[in-house]
Formats: sequence, structure tokens, C-alpha cells
Amino acid sequence: MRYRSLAVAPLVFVACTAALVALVPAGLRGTVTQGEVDVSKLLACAGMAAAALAFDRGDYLRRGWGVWAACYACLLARDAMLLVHGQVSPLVYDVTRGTLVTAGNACVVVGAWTLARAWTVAGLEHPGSKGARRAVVALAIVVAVAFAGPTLVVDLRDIALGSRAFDTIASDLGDILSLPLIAPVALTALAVREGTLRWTWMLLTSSLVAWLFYDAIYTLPDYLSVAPLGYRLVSEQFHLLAGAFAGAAGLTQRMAVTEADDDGP
Amino acid sequence: MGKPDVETVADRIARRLGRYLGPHTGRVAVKTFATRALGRGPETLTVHDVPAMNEALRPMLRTLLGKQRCEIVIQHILGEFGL
Repeated sequence: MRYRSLAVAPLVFVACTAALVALVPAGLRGTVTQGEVDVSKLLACAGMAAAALAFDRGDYLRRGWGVWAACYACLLARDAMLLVHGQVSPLVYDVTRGTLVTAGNACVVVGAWTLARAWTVAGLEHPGSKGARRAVVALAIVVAVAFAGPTLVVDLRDIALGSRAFDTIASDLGDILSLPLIAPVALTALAVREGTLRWTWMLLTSSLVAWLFYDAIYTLPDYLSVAPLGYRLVSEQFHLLAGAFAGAAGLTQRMAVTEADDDGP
Repeated sequence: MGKPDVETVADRIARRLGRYLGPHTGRVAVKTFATRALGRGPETLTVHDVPAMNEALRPMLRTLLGKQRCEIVIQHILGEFGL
């Protein structure tokens, strides 16, 4: 029951945050949304750190969860930089922000890669034929590149035109490299679909899918030739969902690893 | 005529793994590691094979559940057979 409650909690969280944004005056919506995004990052960081600490030093998944938690810590620190905007030199501000974003995105790629490989490292094969598994991976790559690729092209063009937003490139590359890992994570969720570990892997898959939708909603205006007005509020709901699902995944992992086993001999 | 109700050694190990991996994947894991470590199918496993099976399962359990939970599961499997 507690697993089920944790699985539903991110949806309740996002319903509440959406309601809050709808209720506040239009002029405050940007600030409130930013605050909500930071709360979701905090939840993700705490949940994933809790998962990492449930494992012993040297355990494979401790590294994966720990590095992914570090990603959220870096992104939170990047957002915290907004508080000192104007109080430090623009160069220090840009360099620190860029470093945090780059480190955060490197961490998400390494963390997602480590968790995505857990099933293979354990010596098991994902369900389905080799062909079917390759098709799923190929589909995930195509979708990730289709939704995260255009943003990278736009950001590269902006830099060529003189923009200094180098951190956006790190962010785009982080998305392109981590989102295809939805495939192995989802296949692991499918493999353990009847065990207690299913909650962790299903929630982790949901988190990555929410990230994909977040990118997709940003990219759709490029494809549909419509203005991105109003898209931020919708896309941020998926941003919030990704963080909340990640936090819940971490907590269910901790429960599966540390809870008393009541079916002992 | 239905299947006999008596659980085989492989079934009993798979049931222990099934808590985490699910019953089907638990059986797949037993088959995979019995074949890999002992060179035999799961239907041939006897109580004497349980310690060797535990050793074969240990890296998988440690990867997915961590060292502490892995040792608990191993102890439960041994306890299941009174070892």
C-alpha cells in the first residue's frame, strides 16, 4: 500500500502545483512556477540520495542513485544562483552557472547510464527477443533526438550569433544522451513487473518519460510554427512530474532494500 | 491431470527471488544461473546444489538489492532448505 501511495504522490503533487499556479495572479505565476520546480528538484535530490544511502559503499546502485542525486543538487544550486544575480560580477555568475549546469547534466547522463545498465550488470537479459529490444532502443533514440535535437541546433545557432549561454548546450546534450536510456530502464521495469522492485523501475521510467514530454512541449512550437506562448506553464508541469517521480523512485528503492523481509524462513 | 503440488528446489529458490523480481523473472533467473553456474537445467537442482546456486545468484542479488539485502535473501534461501 505504501508503494502504491508513493507512486500516486507525484500526480497529486502536480495537481496541487497546477491548481496553485492557476489561483495566483498572472504576474506571480513565473515566480511561483520557479519555486515549485525547485521543490520538485529538492524532492528528487532527497529521494535519490535516500536510495543511494540505502546501499553499502561499493554497491553498484549506490553509485547510480548517488550520481543522479548529485545532478539534482547541481541544478538546485544553479537555480539558487538567481538569488545572487546582480550581486556578483556577470563573469563569475555565468561561469558558476555554466559549471553547475554542465556538472549536473554530466551527472544525469552517468546516473541514468549506470541505472539503465543494472539489469545487464546483474547478468540478466531483458524480456523480449533481441530484435524487439533493439527496436525499442532505436525508437527511444529517434524520439529523444527528434525532441531534444532541434533545441540543440537553435542553441548552437544562437552561440554562433554571439550568445554566451554555453550551459544550454550542456543541457541539450544531457537530454539527448540520457533520454534514450528510457528504453533499458523501461525494459527493466517490464522484467520486474510482478515484484516489489517494479515500483522503483516504473517510477524511474515515468520520470524519464516526463522529461521527454517536457522537451517535446518545448520543441512542438518549432514543428508546428506556433508561438511558444503559454507552453512554459504546461511544460513545467512535466518538469515537476519528472522530479517528483524521480524522488518517489528513490524512496521505493530504499524501501525495497531496507524494509524488513516478512517472508523469512 | 494437473501438476503435482510439491515445489521443486528450483521453484522454492525462484519463490524467494520472486518477492523482488516477480515470479516469472524469479524462475528465469534460476534457470539462467543454474545453466550458467552448474551447466544443468533448473529441473535437475537438488538440495545439494543450493549453496552453489546461492554463490551464482549472489552477484545478481548484490547488484540489484545491495550487499545487505543480498545476504538476507541468501540466508532465507539456505533457511528454506534447513541449511
